[in-house]
Amino acid sequence: MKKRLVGLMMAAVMGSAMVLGGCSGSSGSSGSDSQDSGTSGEEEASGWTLDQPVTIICPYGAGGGQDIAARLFAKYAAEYAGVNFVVDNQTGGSGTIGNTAISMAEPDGYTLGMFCNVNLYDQFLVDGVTYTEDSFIQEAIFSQDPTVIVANASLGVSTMDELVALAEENPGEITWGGPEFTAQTYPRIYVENATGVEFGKMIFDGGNESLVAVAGGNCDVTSLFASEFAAMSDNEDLVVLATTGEERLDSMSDVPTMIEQGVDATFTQWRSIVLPAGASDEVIAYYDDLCAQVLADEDFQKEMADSGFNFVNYSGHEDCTEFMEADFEASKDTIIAAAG
Amino acid sequence: MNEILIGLTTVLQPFNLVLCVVGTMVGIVFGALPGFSATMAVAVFIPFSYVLEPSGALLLLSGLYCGAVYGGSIPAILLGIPGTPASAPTAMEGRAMVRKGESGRALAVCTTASSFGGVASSLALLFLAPVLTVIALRVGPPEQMMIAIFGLSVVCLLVEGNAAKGLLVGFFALLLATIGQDPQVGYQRFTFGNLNLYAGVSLVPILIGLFSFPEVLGMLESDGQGYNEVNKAGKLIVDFKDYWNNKFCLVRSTIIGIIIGIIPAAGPDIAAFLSYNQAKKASKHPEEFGKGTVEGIIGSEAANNGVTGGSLIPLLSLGIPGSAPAALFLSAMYIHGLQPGSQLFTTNADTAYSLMVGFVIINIVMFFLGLLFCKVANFILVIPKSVLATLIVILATVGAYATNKSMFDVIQFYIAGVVGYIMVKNDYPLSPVALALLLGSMLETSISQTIVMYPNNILEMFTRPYTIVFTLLVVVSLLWPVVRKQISKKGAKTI
Amino acid sequence: MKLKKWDLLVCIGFALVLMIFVSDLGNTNEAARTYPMVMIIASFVCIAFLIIQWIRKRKTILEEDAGGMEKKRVLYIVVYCVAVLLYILLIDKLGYVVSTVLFGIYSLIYLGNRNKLAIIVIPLAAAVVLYLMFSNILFVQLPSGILI
Repeated sequence: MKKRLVGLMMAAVMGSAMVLGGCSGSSGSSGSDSQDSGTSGEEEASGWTLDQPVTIICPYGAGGGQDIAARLFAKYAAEYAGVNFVVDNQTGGSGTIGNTAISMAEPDGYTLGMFCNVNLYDQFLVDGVTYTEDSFIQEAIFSQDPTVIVANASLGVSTMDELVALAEENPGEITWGGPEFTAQTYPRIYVENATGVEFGKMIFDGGNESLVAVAGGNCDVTSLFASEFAAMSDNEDLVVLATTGEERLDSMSDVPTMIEQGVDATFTQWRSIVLPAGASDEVIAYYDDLCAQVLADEDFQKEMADSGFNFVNYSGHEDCTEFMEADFEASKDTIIAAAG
Repeated sequence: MNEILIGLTTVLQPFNLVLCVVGTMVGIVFGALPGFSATMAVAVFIPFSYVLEPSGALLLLSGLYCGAVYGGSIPAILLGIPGTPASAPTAMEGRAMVRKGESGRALAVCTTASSFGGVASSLALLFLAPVLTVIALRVGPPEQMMIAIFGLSVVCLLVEGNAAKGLLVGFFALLLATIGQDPQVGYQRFTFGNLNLYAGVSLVPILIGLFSFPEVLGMLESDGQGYNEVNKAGKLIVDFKDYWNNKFCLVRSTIIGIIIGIIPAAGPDIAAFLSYNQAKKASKHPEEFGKGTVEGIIGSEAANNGVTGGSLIPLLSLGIPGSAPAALFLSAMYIHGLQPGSQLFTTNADTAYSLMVGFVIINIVMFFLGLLFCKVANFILVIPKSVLATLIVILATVGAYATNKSMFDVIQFYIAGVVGYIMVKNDYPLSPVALALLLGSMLETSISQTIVMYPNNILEMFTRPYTIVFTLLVVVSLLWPVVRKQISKKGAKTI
Repeated sequence: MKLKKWDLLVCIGFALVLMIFVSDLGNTNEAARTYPMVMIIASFVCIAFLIIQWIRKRKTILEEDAGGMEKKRVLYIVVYCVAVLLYILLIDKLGYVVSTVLFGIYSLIYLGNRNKLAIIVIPLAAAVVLYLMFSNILFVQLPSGILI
């Protein structure tokens, strides 16, 4: 009786899994002998391929910039690789929890990470962080964006100068929100250093949460990517004060840069897909090829742009590592001096 | 009205209906597997949804969400293993009912209460979204702090006799919740160099151990296979009286679920505990709780499924997810090119309404599918104690492993199990542990954030209307049992 | 939640574990230290309260709670717990299926099952079904040690 019951339930589960597997383009639900997706089929010289779903760990909250980028990558990678790519948000500790998980994951090619340049500096700024720039193998760098500084309209400021003046009058009371040492907070650090004012620090799990807090009046200011801001760009409670890039954004050409308003600093964030260090050459070679395919895909590029990202194209661990090291060397000292 | 009809026609397309049914079915199974949560169910199937039309994709995910939250209660009742944390209160109450020989009734009540909560919350989503959205925006750190304190105080102090035991367990569990990286900046705490503890203790394995292991060891306390006495499979009928007698509980629990759903960062698990405890306090027979009362199951199940629709309200209008699975909806929407906000209800109205109408239909479907599952699953009990205990241990072990594929988690499961048994034998409450682990980081984070918001005078936070409301809830909730005792004492005196 | 006779020991047990936390406080960054400290202090207050209450009422407690399980039963349960621990520890060494089958057989016999067929078939079926379900449908690879 019991065995029949178990058999029944097994059949139900397997049946539904197969129905779903059949419905979708990317397979992977029928176990280890699948590799039957139509679009890819590029056999690598090394012979190593994926036969089970891959997890991409995202250290920041769902709906935020890293998360959206990771899911877009996952969607196209799945088409080319023939297996599902699942994004797993492991948030908290201002991103350090997720990044630690990525660095400690088995480097067997079935766990990837969604990384960004600001994570390179956690090792210097946060006690007890165990990962360094060498803990990750950069495989694809596909966006580089500045942020915009957004404030709650009830503050009554519409330019950086006004914000700074307000902060000067009320030291520590104007709250700036976001995970520590990320895109949400580095602009705050630069502003504080340049002008000597002090903001109150509210710590959140990601860009989306920070935006919601500012929109709801629970926090005063934050800094966001255009991609995160899109959902509320016409919200009347929000005011855009500045952008943190070298030049004004095309999509918001009437928003001045920080530099134009007297804060001589820029902030941009590049995002990448990484493997944990220690992955074998075969795995690395496989992902070099896969990432090249994904990043070259025009639909992928278009979706990235439509979502508000500034697309750049570096793929393969050699090019990416070179890019990462150059940026690391150039920025390391400034950041440590500013934030440490 | 027009849009609702359009939504209805979209949902009723054969393929979409199939998606609803399949999604709900798979969701129930996922939820029923210990170690797999509603969030995981949705996460695993998001990639499958890429190739579907937006409306189809969202219907599939909705089915998974609702099904999984409900599904966790099936093993909770039958085996004492909560399939998802949201079913932990049901595990306590349901198992007690099974011991009384009323497993069928427990399952029926669970299914009906869950569907009721689900349908009610989807109707709230459909008709009341704009009104309720406001709540989501205004809820900030002070309110979250009050909710966390509310939840914990209710659970720790709601004990007959020695509140100190409840408080001790609560504080201790909150301390356990601090192990690992702190939720704000990520500094290490109490990890003793053990890499496995960097992310903190593992909630799901601990919950599985805490609730199921004492069950198993309890079975060892008496001889005999208990074939006839203990594990009778009661008949599975939906008895209308059960619901009419407890109508206030049903409605109240559903409302609690919907509101908790709307509040970001609070999900089905928190709603289940809060509502269960509220039900106990408001009940005419609070001493029955824990011994197998229908009211307890209604309290926890109507609330945890009530969260589902509620959590979509702020999601669709503001892009603020009301719970962890809802956050995944957000990502799925972006992938399909859907933006939350006013745009969703104008340009993409047909997708938005098909989701909302579909949600109602899914919860109705869940009722029937659920009863079907329960009828089949109920037969698990017609087996001897030795087999049941063995299977529980095996299933719980694999469930504890599955969450993070970690043997260290299984060790945590074991320790929690043994400690849980010692606690049960010595009259220490288990609920505070579960709730403290769930709420721990939210409590700490919201306290820090509130302090930053009002650096000069923290009492300023009481100028916020919502904070006042929640604080009053805490105070009333704590004082009500005392007041009621006084009233009944006076009543007794005058007689 | 009445006080029971073993409560003194349980409280002391809690207190010992708390001391482990206290010893590690020094390693924590100052910024993250306050909240756990509050919890530790609050816990100690509760423990102190409970211990004092227990000592004051010890006569009544020991009288009322005099019964309890007989030693044989306690031993029976403890042995089972040790067996479960062994099962868990063996999963990695011998592999999931083998360990589960061994534990299943042991558990069924220990708990009084007399049906020889069930004792072999049920653990086997459970282990195999779970293994297949988790590795092929849910993609969770269960540990395999030297065997499977």
